[in-house]
Amino acid sequence: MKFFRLLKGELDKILMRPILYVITGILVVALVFAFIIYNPAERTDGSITEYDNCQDLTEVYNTFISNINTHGEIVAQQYITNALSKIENTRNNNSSPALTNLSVQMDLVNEQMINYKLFDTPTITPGENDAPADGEYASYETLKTRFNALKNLYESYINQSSSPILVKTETNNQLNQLFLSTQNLLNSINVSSTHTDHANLRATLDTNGNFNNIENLLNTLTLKTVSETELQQLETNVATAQTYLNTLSTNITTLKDSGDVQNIEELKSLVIRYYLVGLNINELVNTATEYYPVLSMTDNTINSYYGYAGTYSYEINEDITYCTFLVENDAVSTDYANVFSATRASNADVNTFDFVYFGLEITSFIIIIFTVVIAAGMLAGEQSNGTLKLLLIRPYSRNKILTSKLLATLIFATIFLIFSTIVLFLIGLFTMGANFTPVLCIFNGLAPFVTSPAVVLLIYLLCLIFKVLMYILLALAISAVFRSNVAAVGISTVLYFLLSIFGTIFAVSYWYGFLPFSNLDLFKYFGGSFIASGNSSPISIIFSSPIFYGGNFLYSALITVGVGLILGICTYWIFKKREIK
Amino acid sequence: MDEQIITSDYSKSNKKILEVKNITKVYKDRIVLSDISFDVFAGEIFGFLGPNGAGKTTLIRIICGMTPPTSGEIFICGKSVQHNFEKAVINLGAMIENCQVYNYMSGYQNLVYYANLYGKIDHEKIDEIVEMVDMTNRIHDKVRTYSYGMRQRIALAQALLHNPKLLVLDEPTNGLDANGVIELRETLKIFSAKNKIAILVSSHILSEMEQLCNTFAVVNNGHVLEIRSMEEANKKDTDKYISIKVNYPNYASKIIFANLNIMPEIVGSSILIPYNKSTLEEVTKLLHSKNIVIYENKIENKSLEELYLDILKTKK
Repeated sequence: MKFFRLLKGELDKILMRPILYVITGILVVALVFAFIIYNPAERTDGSITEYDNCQDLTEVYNTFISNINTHGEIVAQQYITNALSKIENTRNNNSSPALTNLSVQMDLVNEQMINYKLFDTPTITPGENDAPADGEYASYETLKTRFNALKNLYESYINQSSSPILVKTETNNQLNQLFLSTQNLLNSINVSSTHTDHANLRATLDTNGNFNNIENLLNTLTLKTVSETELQQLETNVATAQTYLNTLSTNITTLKDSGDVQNIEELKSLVIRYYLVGLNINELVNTATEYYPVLSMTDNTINSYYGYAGTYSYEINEDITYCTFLVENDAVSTDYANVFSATRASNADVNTFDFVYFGLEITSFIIIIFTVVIAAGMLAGEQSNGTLKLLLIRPYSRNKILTSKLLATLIFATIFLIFSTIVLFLIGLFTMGANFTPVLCIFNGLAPFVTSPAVVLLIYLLCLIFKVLMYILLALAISAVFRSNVAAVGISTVLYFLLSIFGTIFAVSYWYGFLPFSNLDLFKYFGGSFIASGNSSPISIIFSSPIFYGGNFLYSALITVGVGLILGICTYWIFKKREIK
Repeated sequence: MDEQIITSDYSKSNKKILEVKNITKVYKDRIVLSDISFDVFAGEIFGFLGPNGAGKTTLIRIICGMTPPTSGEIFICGKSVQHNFEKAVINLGAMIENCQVYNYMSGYQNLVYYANLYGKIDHEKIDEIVEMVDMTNRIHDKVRTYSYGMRQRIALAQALLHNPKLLVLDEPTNGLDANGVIELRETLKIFSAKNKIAILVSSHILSEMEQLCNTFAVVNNGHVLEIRSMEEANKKDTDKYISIKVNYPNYASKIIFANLNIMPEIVGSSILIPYNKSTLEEVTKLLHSKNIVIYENKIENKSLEELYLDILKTKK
């Protein structure tokens, strides 16, 4: 009871701060801004518009059938056939003499390259097919021919390892780099053709660390193909999708034959879903070769394009779980559940719930920053302007005072989050309407559950409050340590900006997953994960923190709670021991 | 140390409010307070005097629980500040050096905020205090528009809100105008007498302390040099002197020195001689016999300033 008086006091103080008007103003602007930039077309899955103008069931069905035949590259069945043949080819090649030969040849190349690196070492006795002997150095042409042969060999391997065999990108990547290094060697010879002694020549060749590069590459060079276990897993996944497609197909035919005009929207929904399953399968097979830790990525191309291997693998799990669940429950009707995703509207169904997720991405950003400002003001601010002294002589222990400040800030943030949720919901309700069809939410990529969209929204709010709490703890910890308002606001917001906006860039680095604040956004484990391709909005690309390789709910929750506890304990300890002057 | 604790008159009839027990505070290698002990009783206005850096503010911080002592303990109404903080400081009202109220709120909102921390808000009580500190006209304005003196008044008001048994004031007259100082003094005296509270004041303005306090302690270099009640001080002969206004002060002083071996001080047309019953008789006789005209002849108490300087000098 006594503590509530303290809490009420802290809340009253926040409510009387002039900054509150600023926050409310900016929030209103953000809400309007969210409404203006919200583009329903961008939020729908796949942006399939062919069916928009179809008036009856037959028309939808005919369009669908014609798409199957004409839309070669986006047709689900085609993807599945391709996937299966790719898997089969890989399996055959895995045990084929061609691949064994490739391995042997690569070993040979390794030996040769190492000899070239050491060609001036007296302990090496050059053989007939090995590095050129001392006397041959004068003949630059010989050397060039040798390097050229090697270069061509790498090139041929690179071509060989591409489709239809599944060779992991890692291998391709290494071969590419070997190719480039050999190219460098050749270029070095061209410019150094005036060399007269071999020491000088070697030095020139090694100008850019070519020899070391090559040696390092060769040491780690391994031919990585997709293993039999992985292939079997892929096959299972593709088979699940195939079953799902077949069921969808049956349902589509049944609906068409029913002739019930009421069913037209559902039919549209089903045919679009049919198409989406195909896309997912394509993604699944293509990224099967990228199932390796982000750690091993070095190539720029991979970083920029395939940088989200972790996210991909997580999302593929999510897709498979979703297909499996629907097939097992014989629930392919759209009335059953909309597949939930926070970053795109489900099944082209744009309604107020989707608008709330979209809008909250913007407003929560603003709310968190201001919460940090307020939290810092309540501790560091009061300490530097002298008001804390008059608070500490009240009959409340320092622990209680700190707790009241923490809770008051959290309550403040919660009120603002709920306020913006309600406003967004109402805006969306009057412009787009609400769809209360249950949604299928996939927790942690593995556990599906069907629930009301309102429940998912509630989970989202809870995750946001959890996130806010962590930033409050951070701001309070910095306040307690530095006793400086500017430092607390500065460090916390800069961290927040960096991790929010550049999270997408950092995500490719292996250390990203270890950062406590990359684990903050727990909602991504409820279907709010980041989508690297497709039609996610620019806002979601900027503000979402991608799931890193191997990320899962428990890991993220434990890391965040752990860091939160450490921050909290430090803050309480420092604040309790602090001598106020 | 014990002989320094002179139990004042208040101890006989009144409750012990503040008990400072063997407080020592060491910062790294610097001893700021060294084994300080004293008591303050209900109704007592206890002045805390000392040069800058004597440790006054540190002791006040320790009393308010803002800084932990290296050793020793503070009791407010019998409750330990160090071990039972919440129970102890419920009886404490304080106005600490450089303390500030919230400047984005009005004075009234500030007082409501502080009152809320102690229980149900009594608006009549707040109005009464506001009137007492003479802020009725501006109380609903934002604190940021206040002058320094007005902020001091609000700071005083917040210290009185919850009927504290002990009031700790660190340099309360800083920034107040002459009128404000007199008002503050009267307010405190009335408040102290009416509510039987103990007041601990630290200040370096001795004339103010003299008019306000009824007990004072002199601290220097972390030691309490002396604690005296003003009444007691006035009873002591050594703290009095004879002031004789004469027509020829220089001549008179020479005569006195020659005959009685006392060197009087000359202030204007008066000569000052340390008080002693027999001296008074002898001097008047002597001056009469030498035909010096005595215009005025009175026994005066030493001012606090003089006492303070005496104490600092003798006990260094």
